[in-house]
Amino acid sequence: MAATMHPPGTAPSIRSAVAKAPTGIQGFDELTGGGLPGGRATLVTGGPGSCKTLFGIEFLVRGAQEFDEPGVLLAFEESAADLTQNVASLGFDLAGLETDGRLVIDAVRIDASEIVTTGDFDLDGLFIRLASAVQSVGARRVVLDTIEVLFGALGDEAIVRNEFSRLLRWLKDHELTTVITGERGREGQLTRYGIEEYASDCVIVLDHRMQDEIATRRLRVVKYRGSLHGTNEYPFLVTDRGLRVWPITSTSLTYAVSTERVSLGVPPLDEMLGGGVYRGSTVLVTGTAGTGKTTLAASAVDAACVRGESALFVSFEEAPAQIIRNLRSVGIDLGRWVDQGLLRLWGERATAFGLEAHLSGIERLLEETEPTVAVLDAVGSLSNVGAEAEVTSAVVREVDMMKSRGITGILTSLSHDAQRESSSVAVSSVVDTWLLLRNVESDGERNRLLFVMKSRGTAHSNQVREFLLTDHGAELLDVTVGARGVLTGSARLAQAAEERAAAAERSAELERRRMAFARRTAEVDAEVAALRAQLATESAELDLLVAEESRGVSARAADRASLARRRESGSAHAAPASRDG
Amino acid sequence: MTATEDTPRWSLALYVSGASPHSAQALETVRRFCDEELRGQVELQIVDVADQPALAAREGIVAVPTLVKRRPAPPRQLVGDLADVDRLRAGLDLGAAHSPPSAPGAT
Repeated sequence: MAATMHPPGTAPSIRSAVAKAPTGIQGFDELTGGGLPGGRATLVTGGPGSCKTLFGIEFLVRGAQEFDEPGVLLAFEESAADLTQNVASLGFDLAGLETDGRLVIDAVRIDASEIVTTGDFDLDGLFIRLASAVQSVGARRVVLDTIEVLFGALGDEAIVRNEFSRLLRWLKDHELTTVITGERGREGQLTRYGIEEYASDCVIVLDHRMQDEIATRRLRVVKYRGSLHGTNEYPFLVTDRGLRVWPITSTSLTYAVSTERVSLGVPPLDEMLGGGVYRGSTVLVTGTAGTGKTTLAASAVDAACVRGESALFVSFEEAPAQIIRNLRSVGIDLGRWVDQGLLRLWGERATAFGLEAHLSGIERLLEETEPTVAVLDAVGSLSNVGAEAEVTSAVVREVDMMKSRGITGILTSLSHDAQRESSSVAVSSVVDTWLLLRNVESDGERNRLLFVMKSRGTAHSNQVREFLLTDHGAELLDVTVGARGVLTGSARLAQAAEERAAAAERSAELERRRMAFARRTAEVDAEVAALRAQLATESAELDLLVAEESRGVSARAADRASLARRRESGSAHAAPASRDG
Repeated sequence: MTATEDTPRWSLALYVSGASPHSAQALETVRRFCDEELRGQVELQIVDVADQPALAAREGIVAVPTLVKRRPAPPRQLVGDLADVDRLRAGLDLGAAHSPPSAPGAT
């Protein structure tokens, strides 16, 4: 794996005619366009604890293990046993390399209190020891750590200087790629004894300083004859696999890009983004406290796991168990994905180790987990760890790490000022999609709004949506636009109620009209009925009269007939008949 | 290799190099000194570092010539061609004229 860390062709801008000897130190070879000047001497200088010895040892170990270049270490300050033990924790097996005949450690113990200078001398003793060691393993690399000890111990500085210069010539004649470590001198001096003037090909300065109570290591290439090199100070770190330099400016923008869309787990949001975000792109979610950044990020992770993809969720603010518990309350169950091995949850306080350790940790997590979606929640927490510019560069490197691996990255960042449309970490320019969550306060409550601030390569919606955290996950609602602008929460509900009331009123009025009409209809009908009844009454009376009249006529006729009969037969029955008339 | 007695009080080793111009002078000086001052009390080993680099490494030899005082304690390395006889005497704790060897290593 380590052999893939130094692709020589990744930095085409830094190229030269000088043959380079790759160090194998992560990041350093990119920075220098291939490593140290081959067959020449490089001075690596720095204060106590600046890792110059480790630089030299890693150069030898990688050379022996990865580039088939055996090496010799002349150690002036520490015993072979101490050195071996010190670097064992970095996975460097010095004893094993010595056994395999790929490395010689010659600890040159010089005890100034035992030495008396009695006249002229030369350093043939040292040269012969070195030559013998070089010959014994066919060494191509030499590290002298720290040769300045000689200047202090042997007294006659002029002789040591002369001999040192002779040593460098010898090393060069034998085309040995050499690292000479030196102790940083006072007041701008690169080394205590000014040996930088002999190392004319390449000078590297290591620095270890405390900044805001956080230790930061830096590396700078002061000089590199015949080669372009980055001139900035590059942060570096001691990881459990050796040194790691971060050559931020040499990071070339050569990621593979995908046209595949992946869902963020909130369908209406995917819709706003034209079907999700591009796979391998980076999404920044900013917002003030409690706007649902973590939930939104978790939705994306959940969606990835549902698709059967692996995911990584790194929290700088909460412990994994707490994240699972809290997200469960909004209906997102990340625990099951952890159990299934699809999701890795990692919680770590960003302040624990400082920025560089943090970056190294993230990179290791990405390498180990190989996720398709990774969440860093929240990158703004890093502000506690370093100055603003450093945090920004660290986040840019995180974006690079994810992009170069084709990982869809979701960064959340806390913004303190809701009105300012920028995140606390000024990285919005390096991300592809920027979602802004905002609390709006009105009518005594706070509601969440979601904006798509930008989304590269996407015809994204310019609409504002209300972002709801429900017990079944995150949801987006179309916002209600009322007379006072965008309405959310209760205002949205109130507006809806008003509309309902108005509608109800309208229908009540209609009903009233309808009833009035019905009543009127009934009245008219009743009147008509009454008239008809009267008419019928009159008609009946008329019929009665007609009937009586006709009955009267016949009765009179009958009377007349009966009278006539009575007149004909007596007058006994004439009285009743006259009563009927 | 030159040993004068079974267990002489002094045990010295002179590391030289054939290629070193100062070695011959140191060799001559140490031989004369042993003869004049330490006769019968010294064993002197002459080592060419080119022949025995491992031994030189073991004894921590960097400069040539170097006269190593292995005995009596404290051990000491006298680096250089021994042109400064006073320093040679001081380095071997002999003093100018049998004065007490009280300041080891002080130059």
